[in-house]
Amino acid sequence: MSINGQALDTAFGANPLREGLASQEAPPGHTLVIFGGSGDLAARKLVPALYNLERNALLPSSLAVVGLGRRPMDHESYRTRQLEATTSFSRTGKPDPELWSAFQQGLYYVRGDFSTHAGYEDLKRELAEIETRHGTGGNRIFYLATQPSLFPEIIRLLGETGLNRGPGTTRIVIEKPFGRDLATALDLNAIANDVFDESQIYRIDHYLGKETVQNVLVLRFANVIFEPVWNRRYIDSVQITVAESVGLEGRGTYYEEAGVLRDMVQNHIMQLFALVAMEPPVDFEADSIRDEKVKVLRALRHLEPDQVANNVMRASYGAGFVDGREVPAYRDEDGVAPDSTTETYFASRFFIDNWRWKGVPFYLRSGKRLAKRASEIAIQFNEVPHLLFGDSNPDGVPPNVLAMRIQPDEGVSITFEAKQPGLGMRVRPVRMDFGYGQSFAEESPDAYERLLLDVMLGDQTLFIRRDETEAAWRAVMPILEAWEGDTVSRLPTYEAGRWGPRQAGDLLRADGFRWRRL
Amino acid sequence: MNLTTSITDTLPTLARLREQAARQAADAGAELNAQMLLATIVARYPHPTAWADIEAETKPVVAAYPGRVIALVNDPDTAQSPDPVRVGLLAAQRSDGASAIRGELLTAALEGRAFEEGAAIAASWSASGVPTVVWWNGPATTDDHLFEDMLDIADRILVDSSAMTDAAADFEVLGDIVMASHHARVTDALWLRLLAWRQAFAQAFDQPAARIDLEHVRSVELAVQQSPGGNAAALLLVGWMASRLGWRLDRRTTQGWRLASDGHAVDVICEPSSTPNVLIEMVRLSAPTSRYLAHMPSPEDIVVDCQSDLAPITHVAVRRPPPTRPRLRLDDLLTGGAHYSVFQQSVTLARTLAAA
Ligand SMILES: NC(=O)c1ccc[n+]([C@@H]2O[C@H](COP(=O)([O-])OP(=O)(O)OC[C@H]3O[C@@H](n4cnc5c(N)ncnc54)[C@H](OP(=O)(O)O)[C@@H]3O)[C@@H](O)[C@H]2O)c1
Repeated sequence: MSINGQALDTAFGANPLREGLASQEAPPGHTLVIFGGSGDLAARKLVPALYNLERNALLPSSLAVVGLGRRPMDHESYRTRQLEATTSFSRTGKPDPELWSAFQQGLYYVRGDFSTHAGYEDLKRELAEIETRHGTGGNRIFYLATQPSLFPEIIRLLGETGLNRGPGTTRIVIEKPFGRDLATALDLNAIANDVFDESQIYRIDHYLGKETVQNVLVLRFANVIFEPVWNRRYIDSVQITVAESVGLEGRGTYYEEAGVLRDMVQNHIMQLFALVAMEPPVDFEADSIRDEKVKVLRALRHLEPDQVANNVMRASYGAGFVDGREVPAYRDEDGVAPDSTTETYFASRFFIDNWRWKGVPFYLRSGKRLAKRASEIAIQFNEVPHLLFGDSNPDGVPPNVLAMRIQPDEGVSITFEAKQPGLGMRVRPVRMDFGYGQSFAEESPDAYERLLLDVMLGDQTLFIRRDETEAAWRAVMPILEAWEGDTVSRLPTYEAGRWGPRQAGDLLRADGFRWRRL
Repeated sequence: MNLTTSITDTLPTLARLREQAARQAADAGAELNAQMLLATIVARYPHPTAWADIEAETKPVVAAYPGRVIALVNDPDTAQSPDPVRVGLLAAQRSDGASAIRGELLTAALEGRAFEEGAAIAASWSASGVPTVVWWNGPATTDDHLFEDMLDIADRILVDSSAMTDAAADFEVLGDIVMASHHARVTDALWLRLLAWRQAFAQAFDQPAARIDLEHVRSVELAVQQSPGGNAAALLLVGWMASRLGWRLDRRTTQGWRLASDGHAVDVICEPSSTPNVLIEMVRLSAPTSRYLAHMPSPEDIVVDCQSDLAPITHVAVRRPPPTRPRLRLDDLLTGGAHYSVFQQSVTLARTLAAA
């Protein structure tokens, strides 16, 4: 609930008819204004997500969506375009004609330039008209789905034209990347928090909308068997992997500026890391969870400039084969400089200086054009303190591993030791597996469905708070600074379609570990 | 793929079927990924029912929630059948197009006393370590031996109050059962059928500004199917509303009941509906300056029109096709009969209204 909503809710008490139906709460009417409504994100993710919410009757009947962009288009052609996009990208395939026809009546396109005052005055007029037509109650969401370089300007102009305060609740959703370093993130926060209250700001990291990422919290805090061993006394190391097999997919210019550290590590990996390592929150309220995430991010050991080389590895992919297809080296991709030193692979070792984790290495890695698309969090437990079955198992027995698979093939597995049938005492590792797909045939909603619904409901739990994004940037800044001061002319390379550069293994080998093969 | 067998040989036959399926899958180069069972479902069929019908009804449920279904079928002709037990695997299409085994179906055709003692079969065939859920296919009862046994061996029993024949007596029984501490918790398919109505009203009053009207409701009018099921549905829905809003029974009236709210009366009026195949067709809540009309413009929709003398009309639509029987059963499995106290309180009030 926004500030206004909260005040009203307290004045009239909770809805007594809602008890027992809490999870099905439908949001109040809204106008969703997409800055970049003609862009790729709107077509691929946002409109299909809205349609699927509508399909599940989770949207308010009074919802209007206004796409903003530069290219000329009328409402009708915008609707046709979005129908085509939803047909291609929706997880539920081709939309139901009848449902779509009702849904599209709330879709509008407004042409204008984000950088001029006039565009916002036009928007204001359009909004007034659309809000009356749809009875949205004046609740507005501004979704920044455009080049990040435009974010500060858009926010400033929303403030100058008074659109930051509307007749109902007003919220702003800010897409990633949130800044390109600590300084720009601080600047963006300063502008955003100057124009909007923090309770109005929703910084998106779509990883948090994924069912399996939320399951990390459930696994940890809805079970009693894991939390007692979730600490340095029982855990030897943690590996977090976010691997992609795809390359740049036409976004070479963007990637050249970003690199994997900004594109994946500062946001998605840091979020996974925080969820795995945080202390139990006092409740499931947005701020309780975010407080704990910030605390653990702040406990990450700061890397000194001379420690970066020993704890961080970067590389870029060379040519190779992926899925049986020959692919070019990163430096030969469109939009990439032939002498580029942008990293497409990152691996690092982090430590957390707190009571729970002191001395436990966290190995993080991410990259493009790796052997397969796989995201996973693996917790490796200590070896048994004393092996009773040493005679039959001279090499010892492998440690227990709890692996949470984020994508694909979402699930959780535990490896443990079992006696091999026979007269001796041979011990073999076996795997106990829980697969989402096998247990729950219900399809998971797309991350954007969950997140858009939460914005409408005013639930900030799965969004990044100001201090959280700053803490995540602080954690990676020593690396960025060390790289900037480094004048290498060429990064180590790895063959596309493999598991990254060979040297990445050295990071773990020194500690007696190996990267998991996923 | 299914085989007939005898009661004692049922589980070994099931194991053989599984092995056979695994071999076939391996021959076809596929992996059989189907050992997971999340529930035992005991389905009671009080009348002879064909294997194909039972399969058609249970398959969509286990496709979404893998389980072992034990169907106990009351069949007076079973003496003629040498093999009263049939065992099969339930396969379903996965999203990637491959077929996967999602469950097991064990049916036993039983007669008279054997049917009444079916709980013993259910207990010995149940998968271990997972909850046992009974689909009773009828209203809760206290004079049925099988039901009494199931209260002990099962974890949950899904009854269906829309099959009630005598509302006063049947709600009395249901009220006693849901308030008692049996091993099994009793949930109700009728309660699940009313979910869309409950949601529609909850949604209409999610707006804080509308909430104030709830304290001033003066009348509730319902258009209800002229049948015992319609009557039971109206009682449970009004019971729900009254328990949520703190209304108490004042007295019975010719068309319904007069309830007492804080300082004023609420008249509940039931009228016969004009649509034969829905239990409840329309519900209208009236307060001095506003009216909330929930109705079904199509079998797929419930819409609430909120009309206030102080504000323009707003619509709240809850789009929900009426749940099919397998869907109701799945909902029950997935929600685990959650928010039980709301159900208990609603039944208690429905019982008071029915007895008035
Ligand atoms: N694409 C994805 O799958 C994806 C995934 C995760 C996050 N994101 C994030 O989402 C954001 C948008 O990405 P995108 O891929 O959708 O970008 P995009 O396809 O390049 O879209 C940019 C949009 O902004 C509009 N625009 C740009 N400058 C404008 C101006 N001065 N005035 C008015 N409209 C202007 C464009 O309108 P015209 O085209 O009409 O000129 C277009 O609608 C980025 O922050 C990105 O990091 C994207």
